[in-house]
Amino acid sequence: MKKENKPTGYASFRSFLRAVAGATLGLSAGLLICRLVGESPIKVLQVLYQSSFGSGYDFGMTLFYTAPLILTGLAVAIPLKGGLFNIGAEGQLTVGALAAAWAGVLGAGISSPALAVLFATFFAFLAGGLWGLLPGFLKARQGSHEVITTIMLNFIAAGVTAYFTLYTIKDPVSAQAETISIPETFHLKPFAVFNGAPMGWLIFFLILLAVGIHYVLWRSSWGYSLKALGESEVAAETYGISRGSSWMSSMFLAGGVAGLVGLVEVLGNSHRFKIGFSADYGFVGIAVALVARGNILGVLPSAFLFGILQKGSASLDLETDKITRDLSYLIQGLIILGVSAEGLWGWLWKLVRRKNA
Amino acid sequence: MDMEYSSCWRFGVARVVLILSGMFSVLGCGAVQASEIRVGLVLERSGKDDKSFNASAYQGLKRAEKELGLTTKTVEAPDNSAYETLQRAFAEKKFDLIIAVGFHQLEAVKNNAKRFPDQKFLLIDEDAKAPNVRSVMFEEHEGSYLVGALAALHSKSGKVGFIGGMDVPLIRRFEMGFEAGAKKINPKASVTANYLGVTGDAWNNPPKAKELALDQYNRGIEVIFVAAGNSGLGVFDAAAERSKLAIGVDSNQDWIKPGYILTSMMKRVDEAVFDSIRMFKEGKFETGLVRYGVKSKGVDYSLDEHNAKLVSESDKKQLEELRSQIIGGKIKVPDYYLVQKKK
Amino acid sequence: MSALEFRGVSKRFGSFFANRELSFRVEPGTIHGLIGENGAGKSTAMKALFGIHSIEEGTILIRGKPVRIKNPIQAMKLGIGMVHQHFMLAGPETVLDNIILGREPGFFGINREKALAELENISETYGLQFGKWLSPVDELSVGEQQRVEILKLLYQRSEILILDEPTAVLTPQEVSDLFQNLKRLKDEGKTIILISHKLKEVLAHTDAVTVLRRGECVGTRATSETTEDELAQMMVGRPVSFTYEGERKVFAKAEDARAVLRLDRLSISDAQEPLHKVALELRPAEILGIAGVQGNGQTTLLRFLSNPSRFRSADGEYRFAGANRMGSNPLALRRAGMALVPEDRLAEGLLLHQDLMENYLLGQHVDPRFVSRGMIDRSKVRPRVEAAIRDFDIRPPFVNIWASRLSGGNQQKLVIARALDSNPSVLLIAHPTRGVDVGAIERIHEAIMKERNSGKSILLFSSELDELIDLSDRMLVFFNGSVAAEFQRREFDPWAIGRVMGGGEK
Repeated sequence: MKKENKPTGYASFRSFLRAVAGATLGLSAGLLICRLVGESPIKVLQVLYQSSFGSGYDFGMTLFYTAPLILTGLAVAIPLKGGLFNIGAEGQLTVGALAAAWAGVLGAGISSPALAVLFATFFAFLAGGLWGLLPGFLKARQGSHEVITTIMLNFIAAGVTAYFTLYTIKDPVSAQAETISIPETFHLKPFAVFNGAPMGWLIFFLILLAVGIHYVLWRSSWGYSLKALGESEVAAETYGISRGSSWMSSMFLAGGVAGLVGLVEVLGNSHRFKIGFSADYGFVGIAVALVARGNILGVLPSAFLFGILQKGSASLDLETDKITRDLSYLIQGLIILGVSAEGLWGWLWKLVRRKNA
Repeated sequence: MDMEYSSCWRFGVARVVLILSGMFSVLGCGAVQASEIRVGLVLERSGKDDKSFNASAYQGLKRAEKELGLTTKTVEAPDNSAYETLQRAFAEKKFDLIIAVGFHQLEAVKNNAKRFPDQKFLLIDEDAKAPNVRSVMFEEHEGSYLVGALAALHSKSGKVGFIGGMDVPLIRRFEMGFEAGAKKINPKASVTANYLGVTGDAWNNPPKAKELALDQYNRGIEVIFVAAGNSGLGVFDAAAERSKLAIGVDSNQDWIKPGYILTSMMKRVDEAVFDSIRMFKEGKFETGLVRYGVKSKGVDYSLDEHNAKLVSESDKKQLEELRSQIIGGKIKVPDYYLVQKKK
Repeated sequence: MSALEFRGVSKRFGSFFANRELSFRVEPGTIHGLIGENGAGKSTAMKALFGIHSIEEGTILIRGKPVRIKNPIQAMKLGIGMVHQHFMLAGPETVLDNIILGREPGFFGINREKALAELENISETYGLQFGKWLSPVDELSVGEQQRVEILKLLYQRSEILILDEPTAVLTPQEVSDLFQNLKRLKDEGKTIILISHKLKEVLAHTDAVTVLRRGECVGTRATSETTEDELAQMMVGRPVSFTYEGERKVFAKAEDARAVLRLDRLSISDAQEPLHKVALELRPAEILGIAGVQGNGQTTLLRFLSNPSRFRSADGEYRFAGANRMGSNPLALRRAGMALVPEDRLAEGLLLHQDLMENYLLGQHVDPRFVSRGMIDRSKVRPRVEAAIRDFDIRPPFVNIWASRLSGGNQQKLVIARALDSNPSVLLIAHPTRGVDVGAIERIHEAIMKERNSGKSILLFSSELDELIDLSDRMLVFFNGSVAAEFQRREFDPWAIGRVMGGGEK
């Protein structure tokens, strides 16, 4: 009976601990493999540490990788509350990024930087949001499975954005597949302390955004409906929660949030839309949300972890003789496995208890 | 007592710090002999196994390593934002020369060239316009012109085809040169062009490339020039299946389906890399833009045992004639980049 | 030698004992009742026997030999078979295939003729007449499906048959058939363990009864030497009454009062259980019982009444609180004063992995008492949940435990408390005591009657005829999607109602 009296906060803390333990376990397995290929695990850890915290630039770059993953992690975690699996963050962020670049082209006359950024934010959010709304609508209306439709829309997004990039707002001077660069007013200034890494105030905005979404999901009737729907479709419907509007609104929000990757990339980094700029952020976002166990705030540390790994994968290739890019992807995979292997945890827990008993 | 305790504690902390700093200083060291030249190579995402562009750069580096005796380190970028970080890491480790392969690295090279003004860079396929960067660009249209001419020589009907990977200006440049070359030999020649797509997948979709090639062959096209990275393999398959001809790209691909690959439009990235390193070693490294065209054989058609039976002596003669006309300025091969800029 | 013996068997979940030092014996060739409230440990004990749970302490003996049962397959090999409350049959497959599944004769391919011959033989031996070997299971009635489950156990040569709440879904006639069959099995030497919470049934058909309470064994009695009152007291730990004998307030002219809810010529064709020209009126201060064998349209009726928007093909008239309600959604009906206790508490009524507060909010998540500007103020909800826990004696009495942690009865109390929270004028209540412990039944029945006596209208759906007879003022019996007969309270007679439920005349 004592056990049942534990407050909810405790449960989520325990879940957090489990996630941390899982990540540690996965990392250890990864290090073991490094050892097997002949690289010292301590050195690997040193490289990872240096590559993410070694200098202002390194830390800035780590945050630069973290930022889109916060957004895509949220884009997966939000619909997940309502029981939808959004595989389409990649498409949504692509469309959002193009829209941000386009906003730069359209808003060339805007003289106030604040207004310019707001304008681009609106465009990016709206474009990504509509791209997310579409599968939500199809699911609500036709029952089309969101996994299928979001995957298909990823391809369509790639095609559509490529078309506009190459034929509509292409930079005529550049030999690359990229749009015209956006005016200076649209640029987000990086922190000087990051010494060239393209990240500034935006990271704080993103953290606030995650906190805000967490708050709304927890406090609002809308968030409640979504949660109830994710928990039990039948119960939600019985008590008058509309599946359609919950699904569509959550997918719109998710798509919009993914679309804000455009701020990170277009306004903050390359100042234009480049085909193929995304380091598969949309897909890594799935892993980010999984490792966060669908918890909105959990997305923040989870995204940071993946940011470190993404940044570190290049450094490991550079600093060691044996570890290649692929091996560092393997480590990422092991961490995901470690965190998501629920059954494994139950088993280990039993083992420990049996020993204690 | 207090004193003793605190000094003991301080000693402990100092030790830990010492050990830790020792651990972390393992990093940026590595014994460097002053005399040895160190070259860092930053490859694109597709990496050193792409059987084409990056692979060629890697081969150039390996050859230089062997023949010129230097220390090299190759890294493959995990994403398009990592170029700057990787170049920067090489620069901070004081590598003597940093080679950046592919037009994606332009921005990164520009930024780093400014940040490290004493550092020498080599950039392939784009012009960084910086005083400490040697930029190498290939005149793909000239090479394409030559293979276009050869294609027309091998097409009785005058029908030739072009299959491009992603629809980007670079590939348009191939197409435009190819068409001009074909029309030079046969003014009535017609070029049918298809592109595989507008996404990165276009470089890696042999089945779709095969479908397009079969379709073109069905329409009576006799020779297809394919500039589509890995997807080209599908076109070679189709050529072998229909006993028609195809033309490869970037590196010498004649060996892949001997007898069905008329020639390859080679982009000698390996030569450019090797040459630059050699110059660097000899102290003759020149920065600024260098164009590798048909003159320096930086772009060229391939000739080897695999296509010896296909390319006749008279073919060769005509192609060499065209080459000298291009070098002499008698022939102006249309350049998509310039056409675009004029628009 | 006993057919089965539990000797000091304990099973823990964390620090919670689901079974604590259980000891009892089941004699061969008997029907042995295993009773106890929900959460008393009956299913845990049977799952341990069936190899689904591993036990921490104690021994299970089969025919005098200690055994360690690690999984259901091993249990089957030991001759233990179980008919679960929810049948484990593959709907579209034939009866024959369902029975031989897992024990198909023939090494290469399935020899159905051989299986069929064996089955005919079994049904003859045990007097279980059954002819529909090749019909899809879907087409069978619930009683027939149950017989298939039993035949399956016999085919697997089970010696000990465990039946979990076998009568919950049957009509009175089917119940009597079932017990006749069980008696024949017993006479042929099989041992039967009957898990039930219906004391009358247990008293009428078993040879011995073991009572569990809070994971412990209270005692075993020979059925002939015990009484309903004694068993109930053993189960609950205090004396209880079974029939509602509380006050039934008489309202003047209740029968002529204006209906608060009215259906006319309601037909729904595209539902799994279609409805055909249903008419009903629900008046203030009455409990209108809806009886019928499961699957005769009651489910559709309840779903339609609580959420008409879900039925696009509905035709007819539905008026409630002075307005036409065709196509309305649940939230609109709620605002107009309707509350719902759904049929399937687990699937429809609760969010199992949410705490009691979140569950209390279900349906009330837009209630202006708790919500302003789209934001829920949980500090206003908490005292309501705490009051519900107090008033209904929900245990364990904590707001922030998951709903899945409550026993069936406590879950139901929560669902009912939630329905009453908004002070509705009409209550749609389905199966209020299904899977609910005896102690809680009493309290739930009291609560329902209290609402009725305060002038509320209640539409009561139940598969327990006794419950309907106890509580209802009037009763409608459904058959084949229509109202087959109406009974006034003075006409209530289980056999007459049962006849109509089975398709007969009143």
